[in-house]
Amino acid sequence: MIAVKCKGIKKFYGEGENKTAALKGIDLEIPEKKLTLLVGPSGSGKTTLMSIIQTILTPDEGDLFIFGHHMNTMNELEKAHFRNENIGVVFQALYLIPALTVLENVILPLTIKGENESKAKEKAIPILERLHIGNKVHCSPTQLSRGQQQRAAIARALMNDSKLIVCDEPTSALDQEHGHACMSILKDLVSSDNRTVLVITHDHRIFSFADHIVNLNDGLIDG
Amino acid sequence: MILTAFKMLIGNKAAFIGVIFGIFLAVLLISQQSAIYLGLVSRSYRIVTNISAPNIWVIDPATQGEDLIRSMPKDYLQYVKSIPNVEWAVPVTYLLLPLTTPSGIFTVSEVYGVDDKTLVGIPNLLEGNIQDLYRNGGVILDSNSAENLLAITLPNGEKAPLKLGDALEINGHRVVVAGIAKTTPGFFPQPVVFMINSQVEQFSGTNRIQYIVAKTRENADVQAILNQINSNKNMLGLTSKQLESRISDHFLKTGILINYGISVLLGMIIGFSIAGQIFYIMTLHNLCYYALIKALGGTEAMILKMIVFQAVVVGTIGYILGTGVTLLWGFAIKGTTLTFEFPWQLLLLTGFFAVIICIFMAALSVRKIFRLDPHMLMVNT
Repeated sequence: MIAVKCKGIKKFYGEGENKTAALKGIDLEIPEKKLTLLVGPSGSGKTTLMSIIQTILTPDEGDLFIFGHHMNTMNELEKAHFRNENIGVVFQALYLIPALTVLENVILPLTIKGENESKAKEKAIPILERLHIGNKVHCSPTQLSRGQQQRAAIARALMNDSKLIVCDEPTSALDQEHGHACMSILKDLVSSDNRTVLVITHDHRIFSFADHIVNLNDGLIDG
Repeated sequence: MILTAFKMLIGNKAAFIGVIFGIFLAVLLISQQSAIYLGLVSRSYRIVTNISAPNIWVIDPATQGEDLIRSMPKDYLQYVKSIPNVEWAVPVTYLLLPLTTPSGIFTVSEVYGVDDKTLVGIPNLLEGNIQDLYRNGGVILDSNSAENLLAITLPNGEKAPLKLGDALEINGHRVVVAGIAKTTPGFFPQPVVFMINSQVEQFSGTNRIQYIVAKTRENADVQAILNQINSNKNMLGLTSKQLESRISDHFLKTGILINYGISVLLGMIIGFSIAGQIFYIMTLHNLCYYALIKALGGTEAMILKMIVFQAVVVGTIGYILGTGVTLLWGFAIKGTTLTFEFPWQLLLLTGFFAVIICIFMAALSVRKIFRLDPHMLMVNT
């Protein structure tokens, strides 16, 4: 089964003489319930492709299917609802809101969805405990270590039971030990929860965790 | 998301306090200046407020306000009295006469002469007996003058207020304080003195009058009575409200309205510049989190609600603090000569300006939100 299918995806930045192709026609299939790494050097188009898969960036050409849904046919509102229910994201900068507690940050996707806060919190606690930060629920994210913040961001991505988890450079700010711990969690999401995990990285230390590796180079898939 | 918006708002305490302070200052300036302005305007027509019994006032057509009064012959009174459905009509004189106290204080007093028979126009007395006005030289003095302006300085430096029975001199005539009353002060710190008309005539040497006040019978056609008064080109009949407007319109020719407008404008500029700018910076600071909300499935409408809610919260707090301090100020100066008038409509007016500031604040931020691209979260790492 295919989780994400890209057909001839192209994306350009700038206009006129400054127009640059970030993606030059991406044909890609990301298998369901696998951990896929999207790797490539800086400027290869990884971030652009990830943004398109997250549906926060619209391709200029080509078709995108996520779990069989043709994203090109959806308007912005429909995409927002789709994102909320199907895609969990862990950003490289994490973006945990410092004014909220860890628990409030984690339940944010459900708050956006309009779900009852106490029920959302009940759902969040086991996830936080599973990620070993159950004792940090009432802390401010600023009181957490980088590794703990990473886990809080992962917990937030898991909250809406999304089948697709997209992670942007999850290990870039972590040492080897914490990087491996983070990848173990993501791997566990695939094996235990049957989720599809897509990781954008150029950290070769974590390649061994991958079920599937996609190489991106100069806006095209390599090989 | 409203709770999240609130937490994001108070999360940055310095900005939160800064925005509230900006709105507070703006509201304080607008409401306080408005209250002072309204106080001054209401003082301009205080004769109408102080003498509330009549519903019709007759003046010379040239009369505009207390600084521009043309007197009328006393016999005009008979004309007004003769109009059908006029229940009663009495003269009121208004003159500025020199006043001297035994301790040597010299000033100019505002002297109101009231009808000998009816005493219409005499304010409620704080002390004394109204019948004592008929005693030779009997006058009623305003309480502020008795306690402050004309108070006797004792040898030890303390001030002793004038009391009933104390003697004064008005235009060279000896008078005695027969009563003390609370009156609306004028623009200048001048004593306000009430006496019977016959005594005013004796003191001033003229029997001309400045106002005729009249009361119409119940269910009478007031406009028809005014038309009949105005058919005499030497008289102008007005209702109490019309006279208030005429006097205040004359007063506004001093340019005070422009000064007041400038004060309100300054308040708005303070609101826009301090509150608007800090709120905008706060939104910029939180921009990545709004982008996050968008990326996690939030809509622009949702973020718009959050911004508007934040603007409403700071606006409401700033408004309550601003009007609260203005009201406290009004309470603190109650009974003094400082002007202050705070009708409930002023709450609405100040609220309106606070809403304008909040809309400006929110609009600045919302512009940024609508241009927000969650893709920035992937790029700005």
